[in-house]
Amino acid sequence: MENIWIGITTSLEPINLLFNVFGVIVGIIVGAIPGMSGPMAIALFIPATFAMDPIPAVIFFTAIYCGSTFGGSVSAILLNIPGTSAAAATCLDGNQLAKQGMAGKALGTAALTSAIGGVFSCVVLLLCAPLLADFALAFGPTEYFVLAAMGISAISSLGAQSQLKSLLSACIGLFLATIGMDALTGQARFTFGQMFLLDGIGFIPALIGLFAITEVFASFNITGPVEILDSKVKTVLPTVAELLKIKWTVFKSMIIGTWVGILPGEGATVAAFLSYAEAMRSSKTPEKFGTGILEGIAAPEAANNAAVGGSYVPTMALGIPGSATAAVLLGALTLHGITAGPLLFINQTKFAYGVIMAMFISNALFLILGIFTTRYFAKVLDIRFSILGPAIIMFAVLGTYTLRNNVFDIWLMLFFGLLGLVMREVKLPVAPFILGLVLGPMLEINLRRGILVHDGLINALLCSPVAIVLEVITVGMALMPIYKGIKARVRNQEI
Amino acid sequence: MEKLERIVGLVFAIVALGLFIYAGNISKFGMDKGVGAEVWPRFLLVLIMLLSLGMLVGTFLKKKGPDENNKELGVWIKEQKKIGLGILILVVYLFVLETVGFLVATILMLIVFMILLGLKKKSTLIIVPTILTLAITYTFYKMGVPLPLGSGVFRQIFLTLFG
Repeated sequence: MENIWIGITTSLEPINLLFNVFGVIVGIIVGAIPGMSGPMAIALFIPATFAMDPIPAVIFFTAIYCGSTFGGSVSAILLNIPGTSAAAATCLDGNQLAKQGMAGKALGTAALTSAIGGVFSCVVLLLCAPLLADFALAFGPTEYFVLAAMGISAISSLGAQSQLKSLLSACIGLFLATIGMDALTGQARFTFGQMFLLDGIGFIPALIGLFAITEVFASFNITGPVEILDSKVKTVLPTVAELLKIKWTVFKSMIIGTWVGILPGEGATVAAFLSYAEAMRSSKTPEKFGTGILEGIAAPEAANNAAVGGSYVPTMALGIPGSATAAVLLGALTLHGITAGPLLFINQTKFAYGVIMAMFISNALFLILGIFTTRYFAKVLDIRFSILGPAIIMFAVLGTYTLRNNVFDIWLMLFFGLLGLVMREVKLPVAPFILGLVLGPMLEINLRRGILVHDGLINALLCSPVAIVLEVITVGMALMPIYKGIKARVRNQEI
Repeated sequence: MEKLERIVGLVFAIVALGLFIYAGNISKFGMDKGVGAEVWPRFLLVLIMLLSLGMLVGTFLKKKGPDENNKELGVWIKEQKKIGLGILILVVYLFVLETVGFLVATILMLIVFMILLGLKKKSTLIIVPTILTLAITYTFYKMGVPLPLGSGVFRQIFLTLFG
């Protein structure tokens, strides 16, 4: 209870509150603009926060994450173009409702259910993360190695189109993480005589390249603003009767969202589609889905925002990101000198609880902003991409250059931008790549330490019951898609 | 885009093979027991090779259908013209950045990008890049963040405006 109080007072400090508001506004704007995203904004803002205290900086990033997840619904409803992939399912009913002249009601439902889902996941985060961290305190190198491996195997089994491609993407990320000086022996690996590579692949150039440059180039065929259905939209909250009608949909969706968020994977997007499918499956009138019903907006919106809080549970408690955006955040934490993991709740109580309590405020903030200011946010959809795109490139260059004041990092950023484009074209998912890049050092160091401590790989893998259980879960997660594939093939043959 | 997938799969596999051979140069210095610095990256490179080849083989096994993404490589390359030009602009920008300086190079880069993206209004093409770059440069200069000043006349322009 004392820690929660510390968190409340921290989150209410004027500087933290200010960055929370600023973050939510930035988040809603970038979430609403197709071609921009939460991780892109976080990556672009990381260099600007170097001089800041870690608490307001991370509160700012968290607020961007929360705001952008909701912001995606604004363009999904008004343009039928999801501002973020997490809002893709919202298009189905949100835009239909807008076409019927009820854009305000669609936005109000999205804002309210997003906030409900977000707050629920914050409660789960507040209750579960410290418990999980407490449990993980006894973990040794082997357990950490298996946890990191679990993150990789889970992401390849969840949501991705092809397990092979997800694994390939993760392996490339893991390999790139080995570039630089070896942490155990101090030897240079794959630096090709480049001094700048001795510190390893810069996380910021990689992120900015993958999220900003790739996104901007991929949006190059958008030339002008798309027609907005209702540019003078006024948000209308659902009535009590309407809320009661969708209460079970919201309840189920926020549980699905939080759970999917906790599992490492493409959290919010998968959560939104799973919840939409579940709402449709359990509905008495499934044929109405896609025609503009409130359940069709509530399900994905409650779930995608619940996934945000859910993704913070493994990120904060174990240092294993629950989503690609959480992986970006984990990188930001490292750059700010904060080590996520079990000791975070003991050594950095003010930080850990401050960020969690600030997330509650972020959810309330985007609800308030969503109700009263959506018409102004809708205006940003008027900005032409021909102005926005080059401006993003300029900020990407600036953010990367100011890291170490060298042009080499910008080349690196461009390399990752091109790699991201190629990956997008051949449908290699980016999330496993980012996870590999973030978890790579943790995976390798703990594996090698475990082998050293336990005198061999087999001894290391069998060192404790916890490690064995985690290994079984990891292998199970990795094999699950193969099992499902075989099962589906057998069923098809029977039919 | 099966052809592109095949090319990418092959390139990844070849690069991984090259790096696997290169990894032999990492000496085993300082590791009497345990795993050496080269083992983990080599293990990953083997996985990358196998998975890339798996992706390549997968394109041959995939059933062909009227998939809209399944277009000819030539058509796809034509569609990427704008992106290719964009990359070229960025490459030229990076080559001249330290000589021309952030201020002038960025204004020019923004103008060219905006033209490429279809902006035609001349006043917007001049005003937006100039004001945006001046404002950013001024802010960073006042914050003490060093930006490339350029050399010769470009340096003079910068110092005249902000010095």
